[in-house]
Amino acid sequence: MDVKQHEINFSYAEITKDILSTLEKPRPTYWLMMAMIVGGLGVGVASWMYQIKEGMGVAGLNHPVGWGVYITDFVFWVGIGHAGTLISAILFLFRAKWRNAIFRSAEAMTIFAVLTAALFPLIHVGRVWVAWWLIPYPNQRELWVNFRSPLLWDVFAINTYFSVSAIFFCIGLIPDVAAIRDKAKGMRKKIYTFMSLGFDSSNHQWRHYMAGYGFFAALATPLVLSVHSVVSWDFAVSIVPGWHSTLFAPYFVAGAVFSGMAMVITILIPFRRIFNLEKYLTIWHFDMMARLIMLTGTIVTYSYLTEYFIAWYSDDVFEIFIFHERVFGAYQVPFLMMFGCNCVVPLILWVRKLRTNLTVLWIVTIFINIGMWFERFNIIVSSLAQEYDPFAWGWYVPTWVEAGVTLGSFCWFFMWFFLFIKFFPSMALTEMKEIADPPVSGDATHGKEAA
Amino acid sequence: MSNNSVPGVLGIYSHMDTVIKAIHHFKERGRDDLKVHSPCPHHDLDHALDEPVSPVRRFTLLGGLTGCTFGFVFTSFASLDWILPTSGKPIVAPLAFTVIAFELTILFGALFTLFGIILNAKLFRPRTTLYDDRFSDDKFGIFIPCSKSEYEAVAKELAENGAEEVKHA
Repeated sequence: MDVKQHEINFSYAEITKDILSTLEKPRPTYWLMMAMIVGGLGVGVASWMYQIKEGMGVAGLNHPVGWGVYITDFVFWVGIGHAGTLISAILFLFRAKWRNAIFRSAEAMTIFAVLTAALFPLIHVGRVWVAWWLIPYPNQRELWVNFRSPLLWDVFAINTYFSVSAIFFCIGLIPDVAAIRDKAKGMRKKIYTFMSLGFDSSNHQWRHYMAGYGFFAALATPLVLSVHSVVSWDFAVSIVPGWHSTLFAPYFVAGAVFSGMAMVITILIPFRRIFNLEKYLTIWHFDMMARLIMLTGTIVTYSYLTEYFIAWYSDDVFEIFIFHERVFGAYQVPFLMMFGCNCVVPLILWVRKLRTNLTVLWIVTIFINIGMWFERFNIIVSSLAQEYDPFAWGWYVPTWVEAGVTLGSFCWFFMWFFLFIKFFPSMALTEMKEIADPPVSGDATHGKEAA
Repeated sequence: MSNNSVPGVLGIYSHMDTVIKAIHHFKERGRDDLKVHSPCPHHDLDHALDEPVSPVRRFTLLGGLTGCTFGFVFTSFASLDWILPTSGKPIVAPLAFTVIAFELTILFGALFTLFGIILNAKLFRPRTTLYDDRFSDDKFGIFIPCSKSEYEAVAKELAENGAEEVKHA
């Protein structure tokens, strides 16, 4: 059943040829998919434009629920962006060899997910043309932002995460871009020559490159853990029932990795099929990713149960009420979606035969994506709708504008991913070679045959 | 991005063990100016070349320290410059500012590391030595800088030490 390391041990030339074949001229299916994506993005942009023209009223946000689908989308996309850096940085430090075939796609996914997430605070603030007031800079009004606010911590956390992930991603691409440069001709060669920054695969460059890469991984590791912790403090530092909990940081981080890994699998299973990369992305890789989902899914389930225990144990009537309402109140459907998709459905993965069946695994990960979106909606909306004072309670129902923007965000994410797979290698050439046996004399066919 | 201005001879190899033997040979001959090309980094090559630890780590440390200091100083300065009392919290709140200082430690550490790689690996500069496009695919190479009068002798030595092709500028 297991496909072990030696079975993805191919010759250097074969690795280059196979991986660069993903950059060949797109097939009609690609253009069809791209047209659908751009169409969906158009719906999102039109919805946002309508909101800018008409005001935030069209978004369904009103007292007492000031945070709705947009903040749900924001937290969801930040969470999706966690798997890439986890795979590229943390698993790099642990020398987990199964990461090498998947980390490039996961890293790209991280960048595009954070890029998507970063749009939502801008959409949510309404007057997007003054969103730059969030950034602390010397100004003629002599004002400074409030550095004690978790919302501002988030500005720093998200921007740092995006910047560091983007640098880490681009640095990782340099040797592969140099490989494309060396195979390309004409204008493509000129463009990739510029983007390869003069990289010549020499020992002088590898030495500094690898040292720097290790430090990027070491810096990115605490960053991964901190970003969703800071996002969780947007909620936990307030005194809203259902939010004010020290559990939130580890709970959010585990949830982020859980949803991020699910999205990686959702994308990689069709990707592997479309580009005939079955020999590089084996069942073994998906089994390893599914195990990470099992681990983080268990932590998430434990966190849900702990939340209920803490509410009961605190004897705080408001806390108990909120958690009671989540299960039996007006927002019962989001709760059931959350619990069913995140706690019950992933149990299927505990059966080895099922988690190594890629159709089953793909369906489970789609359920997890849906469940994690509802988790965020459940946390955000149900607490705000029924805070302390019953006189101030109110119900929030998302509008078509929010649905349009959410659809647009998915299309925006996939648009970048589709562009990426045609311009850059979606599997790391260099790192695939690193885990392959190097060619040695007297061995005409190094690689799998030799092993 | 290449001008091949440094004179020398380039040997091209197909096998890692042959390259390593050749590196040992040239190093024993006192040549520490070898430039070795390989499709990916490899520990065996590192051991054969026995190069000092990269100074990039110092850039990372300096960046981290700068970011951390800047994080605390900037937030404290800005809070004192525009007094914004909220809920009786201290105006200068080191605990709250730790989050921002932490993020800036990472951000500056990464930016300085990037700068360290660019500076030390001499990126963004034209290539000055001979190169072969197959080095990013499946071939290895050893470039030995030497004067034109030495070309023939060095080429012969490379060929005797396993080079399958030899080129010079």
